[in-house]
Amino acid sequence: MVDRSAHIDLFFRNGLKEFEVLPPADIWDDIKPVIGRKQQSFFILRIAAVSTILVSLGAVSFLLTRSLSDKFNGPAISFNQETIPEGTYVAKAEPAKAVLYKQSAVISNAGVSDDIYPAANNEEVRFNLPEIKLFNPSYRESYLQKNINDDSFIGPKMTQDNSSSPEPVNFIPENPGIIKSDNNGSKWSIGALASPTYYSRFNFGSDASKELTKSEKAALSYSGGIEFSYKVNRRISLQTGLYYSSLGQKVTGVSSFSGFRPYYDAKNGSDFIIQTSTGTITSYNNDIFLLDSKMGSRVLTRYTVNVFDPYKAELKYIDNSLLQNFSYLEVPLLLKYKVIDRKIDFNIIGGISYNILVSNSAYTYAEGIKYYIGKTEGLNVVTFSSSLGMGMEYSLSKRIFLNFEPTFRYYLTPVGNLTGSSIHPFSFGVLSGFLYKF
Amino acid sequence: MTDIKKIIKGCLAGDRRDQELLYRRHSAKLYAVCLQYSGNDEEARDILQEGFIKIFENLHHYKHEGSFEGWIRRIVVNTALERYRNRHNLYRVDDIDLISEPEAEPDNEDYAGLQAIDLLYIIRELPPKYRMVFNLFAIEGYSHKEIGNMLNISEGTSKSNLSRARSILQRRVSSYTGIKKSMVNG
Repeated sequence: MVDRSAHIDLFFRNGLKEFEVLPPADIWDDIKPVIGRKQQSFFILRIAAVSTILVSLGAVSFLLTRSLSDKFNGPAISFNQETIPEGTYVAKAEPAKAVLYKQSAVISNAGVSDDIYPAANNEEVRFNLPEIKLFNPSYRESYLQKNINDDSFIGPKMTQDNSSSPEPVNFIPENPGIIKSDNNGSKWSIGALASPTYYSRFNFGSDASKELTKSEKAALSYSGGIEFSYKVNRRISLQTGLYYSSLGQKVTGVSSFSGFRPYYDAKNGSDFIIQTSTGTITSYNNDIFLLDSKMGSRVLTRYTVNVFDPYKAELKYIDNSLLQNFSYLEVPLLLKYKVIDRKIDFNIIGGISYNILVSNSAYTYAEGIKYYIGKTEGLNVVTFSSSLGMGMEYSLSKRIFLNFEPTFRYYLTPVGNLTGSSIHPFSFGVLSGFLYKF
Repeated sequence: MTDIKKIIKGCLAGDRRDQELLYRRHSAKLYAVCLQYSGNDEEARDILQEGFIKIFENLHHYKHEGSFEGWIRRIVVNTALERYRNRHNLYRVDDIDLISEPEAEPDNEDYAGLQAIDLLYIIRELPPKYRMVFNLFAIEGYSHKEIGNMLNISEGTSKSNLSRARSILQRRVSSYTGIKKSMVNG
């Protein structure tokens, strides 16, 4: 018998080995545009990614340049002597050009003496400074250096040699928002942030999987957690933390009914499997009966319509959709670049996150009651996502900041591991909360 | 660089001519596989189309290790399996079939008169679950354990389905041979 069986296997194998049948001529015409479209979409995605990077870099450099040039937009220093002999320097000060003093004070700071005497209108001012050449580019450099590396700079302390004004005068910069005091050199910050998120996904899977996606919608999603950041230098910080994020999805076209338990007991086994684009939901709730409400094949069960009619059995109708929920613990590793350092800081934040699936559930919901159904199977436990966002920090006090982070996230790895399915979620949310710097 | 390597490289670069060349070279063989796994021509056509799209999409994964023909065949077979899984039940009610029918006694027929096209028709007449198991075991050479995982059935069900498939095939081969002989003899 075995020989005979093996013989027929071999007979078919050999018989069909070199067998060829010409396919209908128009199949290639159907394949051609699909390949083209896919290649084009990848090409467009690449172009979009490169453009985004270029635009971001352009914006960063523009803002950076503007931020620096703002600091230099004061009037020219109007000392009327190019070289001033050591010991006594004479300058003609002009009224209403406070920046003149500010800048000359910077030179003084960068140089030797802090004691500069502001002048009254058209008065001569005496400076006790060593010989320095004004308009020397190196001063500009030193000013730049000073303002980039030393956040503690508020404005020069100036005292007047004139006996009529013996008290030191503090100069306030023209725009107090431009140059901000640092938080006592705080290197660390800790914050708590939360956000509702808009969630959607790209499906790079098979046509069957895409068909399933058509009747699935994003549901309520949110994210929140704590973040820690370490300031590497004035502009760059490293950020990590621990976030809890919940992604929701609504699957339509599946009717649910309660009150199935008596029938389940009688038939010894309720086995409903619901196909979704992310994975298959296996029902563990024996009281819930599930039925395809459309002409579809999402629900796989032995209790087909010709075997069991929920209406005849007078089961209680719940809803015609299911909700899937996936919860992740996320550990991000982000790089934060400070673009604008003012009263409100602007940062560009980007990096990757390591996401661990901690729970997943499927349920249906009606009249305020949640009916648990089961779990989605075939999900990847670990996924990676990338994020790009902009952080805005508003200083409430020296150490406490209000933080907003509009963030776009994209899952680099698919959420599920089913053959033919390749769901890459993406989300957008504005994480907001408070930061404490120390 | 070998011919196929050149074609693959061209396909990856988006060269239309190479893509068409690859299709023309392999479509006839792969269409025969599709026919073998499907119940009707429409389904075979869909499998071939879907399969080729996957081949082009995943071409960058091909590492030039092993035969290219084998690689593309596996993609097409997997596409057929996917389709089967989507259309047929995923749950294990197949276990009901474990009570197997007695296997038909093989006739001492000579199969030599049958052509590949006849064999194809005979295979396609099998019920889908028997056809899948027979193709995977007898033609592709997978084990019952692997088939069980692929079709989400138990190993026992796979064995039982194979046994039934063989039994049906033997009966059909015999009757085909008989018909052919009577046609030849007038």
